[in-house]
Amino acid sequence: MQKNIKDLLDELYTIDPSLQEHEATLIRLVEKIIAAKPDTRFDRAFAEQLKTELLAQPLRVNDTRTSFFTWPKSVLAVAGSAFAVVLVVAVVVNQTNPGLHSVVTLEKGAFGSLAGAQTGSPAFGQGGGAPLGSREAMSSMPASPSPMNASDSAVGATGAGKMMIAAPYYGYTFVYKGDAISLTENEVPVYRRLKPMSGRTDLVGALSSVRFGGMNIGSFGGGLTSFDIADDSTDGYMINVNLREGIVSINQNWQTWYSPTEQHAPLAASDVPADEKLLAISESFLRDHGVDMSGYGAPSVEQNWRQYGQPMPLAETKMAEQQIYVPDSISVIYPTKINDQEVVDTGGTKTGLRVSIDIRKNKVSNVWPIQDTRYESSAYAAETDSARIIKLAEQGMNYGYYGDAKGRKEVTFGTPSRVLVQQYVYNEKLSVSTELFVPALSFPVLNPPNEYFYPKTIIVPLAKELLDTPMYGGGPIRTMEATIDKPMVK
Amino acid sequence: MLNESTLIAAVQSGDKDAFSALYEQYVKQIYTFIYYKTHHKETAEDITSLAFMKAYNNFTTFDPAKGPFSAWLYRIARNCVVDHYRAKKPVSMDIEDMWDLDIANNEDVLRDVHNRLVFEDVQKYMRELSAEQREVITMRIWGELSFKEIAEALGKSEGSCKMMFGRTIAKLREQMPLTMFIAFFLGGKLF
Repeated sequence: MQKNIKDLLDELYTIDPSLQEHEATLIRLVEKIIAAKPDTRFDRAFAEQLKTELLAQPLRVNDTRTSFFTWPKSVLAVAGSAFAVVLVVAVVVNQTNPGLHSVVTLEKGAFGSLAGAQTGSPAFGQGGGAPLGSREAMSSMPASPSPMNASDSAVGATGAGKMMIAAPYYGYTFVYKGDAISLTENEVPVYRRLKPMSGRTDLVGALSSVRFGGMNIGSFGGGLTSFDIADDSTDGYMINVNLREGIVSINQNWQTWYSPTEQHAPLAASDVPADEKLLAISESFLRDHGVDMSGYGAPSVEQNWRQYGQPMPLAETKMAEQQIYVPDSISVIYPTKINDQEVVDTGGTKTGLRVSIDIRKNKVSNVWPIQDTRYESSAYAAETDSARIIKLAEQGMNYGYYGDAKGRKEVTFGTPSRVLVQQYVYNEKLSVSTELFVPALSFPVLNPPNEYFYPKTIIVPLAKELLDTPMYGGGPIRTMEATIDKPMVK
Repeated sequence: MLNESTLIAAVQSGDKDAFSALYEQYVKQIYTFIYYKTHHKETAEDITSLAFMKAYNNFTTFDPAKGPFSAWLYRIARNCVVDHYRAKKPVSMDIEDMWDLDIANNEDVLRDVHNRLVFEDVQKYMRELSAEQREVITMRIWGELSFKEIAEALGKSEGSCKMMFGRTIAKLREQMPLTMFIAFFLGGKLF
């Protein structure tokens, strides 16, 4: 008798000893049952495909370090009355860890296809903009550029070959004047920020005893994804914590900063503190609130307002002389750094942590986005044809406009440096836009043709799949001929 | 071949090869476990995919100190089956697995011709059991889990699972004809 049949019968006899009398019958039955074994139709191909699909996803790892988003181990509920249950959430900040910046390497192509890439932010077209739908976007929007300057928003990222009415741009011919470029890497690492796990339901359960507006909120599933903390003291702050994105933003609690009826005289350029003072205000705020800065590079004070606010020459506009516009707040930018490379937007502007300082009060008014600087990296095929890279740069990338050669100005650009460019890749199937950081070459503009020329650099990504998309390979936006040579404003 | 605890630790540190090794150890078992609850190949594959996706995405939540990995995995699979049937039927109906369905009209079950006669008769006895009793029986007999693993998966003590199994088997033995009982008891263990 086979051992397994004997073991089975022994277990059966333990349950019902009388069955031992029927052992001969049992053995025949068992043999018949073995012969009639049903086929579960386990499909090896299915198993292999499932394994491939699973391993294509990033694998979350245990991180024993506490971070800015370590979930509290306990929730404190203070009950005052049936309608006064207060939920207090304590966010633990680990003061002993010197830094939380890290990069985890995944397998090649882990972030999927880059073919859905868009330039700039999906909503605002400006590099470094806030995530779609976030309130932070409105408070941190940079000043709109002068119509005399090129910008991402003007390009609109609408794809190749489309005609659109242009703002009053001059045509530019970009010419490379730098050293020979050698591209030896077959692959480049693309980075993605590691976001905290979502779907936490702890607090919903704890809220089940609380009735909001007569409704039992605990009757719904799901978890808390964001919350606000408001400080109503003078010059207090409103802090928004987005648990799903892993982002904290700090904003003025408007009601405590200025009276709604308070009138302010326009600011003058002389009212803006020196860069050193603005940097000191920013550094002090970040230090006092324990913001981990290990994932950022050296700060710089944003100077765009000086360019945007310039009055237009009367000869061109025939308008009254404009006042120089000085914004209420000036920002200090701490560029994101990943593996010692700074991140820029597709226009070449450094992007990262933005600390805005209210000029009237000389106080920090807004900080965004505060987040963990932990990343995943995945290798993607790199473009090795340097001639193609230079040709794309000479098309001007975001800033190239074709049209009548008459009136076009020559812009020279020099030897590039290596940066990471912020890209958003849209997955149509999941309706999700993913922020990626892609190695790129930053070509510095050597001779801006006039004081209104905005771009300081021309950015060309090195991931081949990106360059093969219509966004890059199809060429820049074509403009209508009639407007190419003259500004629209009369 | 690394032992399971080493593989688990490696997976939780981000080692996908380690997950691949664990997957290979369990994919057929889990699929079979789910198949015997659904008796439909495509449904079993869908639920197996869902179960492993949940396990993969939540691997960091597995705590070896709280029980064996197999029990954790079976619990995920079991919950996926329950969710599947609950989604298919009105809330008022308590559907835990295919035994709660009308097998006579279930072509998937009947497609398993060899078991047709057994199931049609066994069904009436299984339906008289509570979902919990069915759970213990099918996990022990069909899933071949130890009582310790069953206890972990169901959140019960090992002793109570053994007692429940023994009493339920005895009850089935009283109610079922001998041939049917043996086919049921041994059929699951042999498969």
